[in-house]
Amino acid sequence: MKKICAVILALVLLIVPLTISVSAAGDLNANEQKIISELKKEVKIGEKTFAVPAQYVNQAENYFKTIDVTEAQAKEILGYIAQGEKLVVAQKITATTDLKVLKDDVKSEILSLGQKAVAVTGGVLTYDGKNVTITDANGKVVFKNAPIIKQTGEQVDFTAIAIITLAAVTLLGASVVIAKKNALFVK
Amino acid sequence: MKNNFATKKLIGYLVLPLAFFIITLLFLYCTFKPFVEIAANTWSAISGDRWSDDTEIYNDIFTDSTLLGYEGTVKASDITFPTFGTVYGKIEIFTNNTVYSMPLIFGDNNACLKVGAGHYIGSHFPGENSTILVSGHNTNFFNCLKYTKVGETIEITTNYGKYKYEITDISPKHKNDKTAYNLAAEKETLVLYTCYPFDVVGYKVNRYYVTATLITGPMIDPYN
Repeated sequence: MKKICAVILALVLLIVPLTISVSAAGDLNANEQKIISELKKEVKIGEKTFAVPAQYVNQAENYFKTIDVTEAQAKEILGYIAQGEKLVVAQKITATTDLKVLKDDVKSEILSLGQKAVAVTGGVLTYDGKNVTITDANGKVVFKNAPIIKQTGEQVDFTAIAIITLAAVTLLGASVVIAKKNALFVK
Repeated sequence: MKNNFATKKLIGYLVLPLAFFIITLLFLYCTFKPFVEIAANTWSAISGDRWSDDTEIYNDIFTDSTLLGYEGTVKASDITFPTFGTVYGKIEIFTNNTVYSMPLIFGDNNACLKVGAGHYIGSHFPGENSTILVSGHNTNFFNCLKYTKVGETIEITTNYGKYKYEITDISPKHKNDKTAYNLAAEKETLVLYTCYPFDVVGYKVNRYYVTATLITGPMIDPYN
């Protein structure tokens, strides 16, 4: 739950900037730099200081390398960030509590802010109760809060094993029935 | 007496052969699956049918050019950065008297890792003076990591330049050990990892990290 709250907070700060029109530009223009700077800034909420994890900021930066953000868009984005910050800061978070104290309606509002912003340029934000994925207007993934380190070993496909085992057990059962019917076990 | 005979017959003629059959199948499956995967990948690379079963891989912007250099600066505005699932370069690992070469893909989900080495989208690109985090399967592309030694070379070729790295550290660590990489670092470091140990099938909690630092390569100017 705590992890999800952290992701939701990061969403407000990060996801909103990903709602940008599509063009091509490898460099970070002034508008994009403003947003990245905002994302890198530490936010004081209650008695605690929060920062967006580097992997989320990097994803935003990498996305900005494939598009151009106009001044108007940046302004809108920064506005969303401010709204999200304001919303979270207003919650009573103390040094001993955490983002998990956020009420469900606050979390929903934060999520909704992100989704609306993403939808402006045709992007889609999905939250399956565990993970957040954002795709751009072309359906390409631009953000995912998946674990950084992946499973890279060979996985055993238990489906195949289950099918073979099931087939063998069925065969065994059928054999017994047939054998009994034909009195094969009678001496 | 009659029942005892029937049970013995049942065990002798049905249960034991079936048990052997199942055990043998499982044994063959576990033993040969990695080799079948390697053969399939090799065939896939030879035949050029790399995307056949990977609908998420839809782009390849990499053109291997011999004209690229290891020096200078590149303007970011001159670079076409990849989107998710795009092949944008190649990695060459010089070890075991062999050059292990593989596609470098932006993205590291299962579909990406089937066709090459996967660049984590929350890490940086070569030439950005930070950490490049790349994963690969231990049964095919990154199986060669087990041969690597400190001091050996890894090269990355992209459309905008060639990068040479020297291996400075090799160590197995727990997958949750964040000391293996620093995604906010201001020093160019290439971190390759794969599941560890290499020859054990199934879920693994450890990763084999090969860390290399940049020797030479054109740096990217992000604001131009």
